[in-house]
Amino acid sequence: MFKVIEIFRGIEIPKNNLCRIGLSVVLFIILLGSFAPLIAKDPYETNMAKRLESPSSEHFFGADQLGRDLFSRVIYGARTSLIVAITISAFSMGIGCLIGAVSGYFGGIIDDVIGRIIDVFLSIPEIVVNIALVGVFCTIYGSSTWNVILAVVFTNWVSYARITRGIVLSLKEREFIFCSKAIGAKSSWILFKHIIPNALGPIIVLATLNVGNIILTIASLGFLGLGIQPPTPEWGQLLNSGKNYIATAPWITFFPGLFIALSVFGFNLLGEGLRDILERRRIYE
Amino acid sequence: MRLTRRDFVKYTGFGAASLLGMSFLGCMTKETTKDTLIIGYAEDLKLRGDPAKIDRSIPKFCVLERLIEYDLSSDDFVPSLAKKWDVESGGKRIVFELKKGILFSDGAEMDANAVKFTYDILVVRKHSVAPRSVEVIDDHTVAFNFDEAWVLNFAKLQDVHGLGVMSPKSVKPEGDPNGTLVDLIGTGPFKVVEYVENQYTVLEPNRYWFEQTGLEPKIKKLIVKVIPDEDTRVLALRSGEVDVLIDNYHGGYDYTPRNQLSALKKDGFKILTKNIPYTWIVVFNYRKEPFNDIEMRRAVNYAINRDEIAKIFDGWVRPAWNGMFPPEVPGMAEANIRYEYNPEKAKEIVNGKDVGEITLIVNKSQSDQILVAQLVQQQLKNVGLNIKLETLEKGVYKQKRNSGDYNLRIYYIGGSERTFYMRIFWRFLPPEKPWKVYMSDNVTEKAIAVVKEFDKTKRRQKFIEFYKALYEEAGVAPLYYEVVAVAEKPNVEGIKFEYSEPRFYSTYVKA
Repeated sequence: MFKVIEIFRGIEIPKNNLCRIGLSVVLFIILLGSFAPLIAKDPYETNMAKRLESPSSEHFFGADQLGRDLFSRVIYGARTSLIVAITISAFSMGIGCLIGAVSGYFGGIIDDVIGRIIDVFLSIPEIVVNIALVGVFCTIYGSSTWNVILAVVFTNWVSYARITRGIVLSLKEREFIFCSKAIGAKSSWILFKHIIPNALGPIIVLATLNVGNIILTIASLGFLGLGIQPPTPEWGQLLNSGKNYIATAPWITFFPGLFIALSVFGFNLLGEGLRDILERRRIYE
Repeated sequence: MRLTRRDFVKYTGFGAASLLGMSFLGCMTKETTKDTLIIGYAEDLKLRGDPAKIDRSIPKFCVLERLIEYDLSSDDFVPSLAKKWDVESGGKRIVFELKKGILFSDGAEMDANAVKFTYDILVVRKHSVAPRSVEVIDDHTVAFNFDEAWVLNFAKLQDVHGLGVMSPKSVKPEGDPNGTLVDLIGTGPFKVVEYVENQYTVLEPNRYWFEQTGLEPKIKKLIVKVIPDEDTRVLALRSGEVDVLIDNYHGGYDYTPRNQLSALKKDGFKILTKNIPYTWIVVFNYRKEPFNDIEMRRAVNYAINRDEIAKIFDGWVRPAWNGMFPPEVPGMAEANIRYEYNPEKAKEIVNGKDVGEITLIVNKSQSDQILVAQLVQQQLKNVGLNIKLETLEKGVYKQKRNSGDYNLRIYYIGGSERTFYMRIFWRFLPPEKPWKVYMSDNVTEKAIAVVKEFDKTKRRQKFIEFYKALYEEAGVAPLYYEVVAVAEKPNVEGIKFEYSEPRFYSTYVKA
């Protein structure tokens, strides 16, 4: 499988086993989520006769307090968590890269203002802001997945902006940028055609590492009852719903918890691996 | 005198043995009971500011007492601070003769002026349970005048939304019904000694109440800790931070989650419950499609398996098969109502109709109701209704409820015993308000007949007609009959229910 990916992507998979494990775990979870309708039952179907049933051949992960198949809910939960996490990561990356690139490229007062804004965001714990924002959005607009996406993007773009700004500061002194300027290229052209594409490597590493963190944030919000609302299956919310039964039906918390841990572990290992690749390339260059 | 070594050893040994013995004795006497009971409760008791807004539970049944009480089992209003009463002007005027020698916790006598002062607090605010006016006839006789001649007037005087008799010294300026509450003084078994808003309240026994009743207080302090979140309250009980959890027995949103009662019991906590005339229901937005159609409302009633819903709570509640209220409510058993679970019939009704997506809203501050809503959603889905479940913050839920932006919602009717009559008024009688659950010419007429009727036997018959009318029009879909619950540590003894309320005057905590 790794060979195929190597040929297809044209990138070298490092010999690092942990990275391979990370990639396997991530692919495994993505595949589970993608093929959920084929491998899982209806995650909403209740059956009170099976309420709090322990894991069995019929219900691999047992049943929850409404007799729903927990395996199906965890698998569909993977879909929810991954889709939301990747959406947040994409939005944050887009916003953060643009702001960071503008800040680094133009410098001066723009850089100062953006720099201070970034400092302010970095000085406040992200989860506190996320909880406050989701709470406000829920109170005003009612519960929605978009509340979670907006609240997390609000704090998450900062790390992208900081990294991008740093890269752009070094890139803009490179010869090919001077050449572009010399032939009269506009700033926007230089930014979008030369600077951002060249900064993408480390940003993609950051995004990969970040997906793990975002999954944790979504699960934390879900656990606090602020995230994605029932009956939509989501790992944090599944953990929350099982906490009252931890002594009598521990499987309700165990399996969602396991999948949260696995996905974070997978994305972090993969991110670390990608960082190794980039590092090697940089040294080679 | 010279002290020999032998004497020294003898005396110190004796001294040490005496000290040890005394400490054992001390421990034995001291550890038989603890002198403080700590209660975990969801709400602040609101003991400052507007006296009409004090909390509906502990201040009203631990500190204050009312003129009369309501006994659901006999459907009678019974004396409390009032000795007897006369109904005049066809029911528009009730003259109460007060018991003599009842003292407030500050030692002053409870008299007609205190009663007038208390009810004037409601009168000046045009409160929904206020009489039109209150007159002092003499020190121990007071008359209440009402706009309407109906039995509901009695219900208003003992309802939890109203007040119990408080001393005019409770407010500043003293005796001013528009005044500000500064120190709640009542005639009940406890008096308030300390209050910190949104944190805790400390109560101590009111010696005058205990002298009057001939009882001995078994605790020296009752501390009510405010813990708004339901899960945190349960954790506080488990960790020993509080001894007892009680419901905000008014109903609604703040109580010990029923889905945690079994786990608490399994872990050694004691659970006391009492059936109350309180039913969780599905409310239809019957003013708009599709539930303006009686057939669609019937379909929902056929589709709901109430046994399954009660199973969520491991049998702590009863499935609502027998009508709007549980069978112990006046006239309910005689009404002989039985909801039918018949998903096939529901499918037949739904199949012929194009109803689109139906919105079911639920308040997310209650984990119980979120579970119920999910099960209802699935049961309705099974008969072909496409239900979108919206789990909403309390504020957003109210906003949607008030604007009518929903098709179905999870709500409740009834309440504690003392709220039984007023809830019929608030849920089924005009004028149109967001908290009404169903009104039609027929049902409303029959509900009015109930709350007007003074004669108990005739009223029972009118109750039956009202229940039947509501059932025939499928005005609501009852889900389960609620209880009032107390969760307590195994060493807490002596809490008992009077009417629907847990009482603490004979409570003690074993060390």
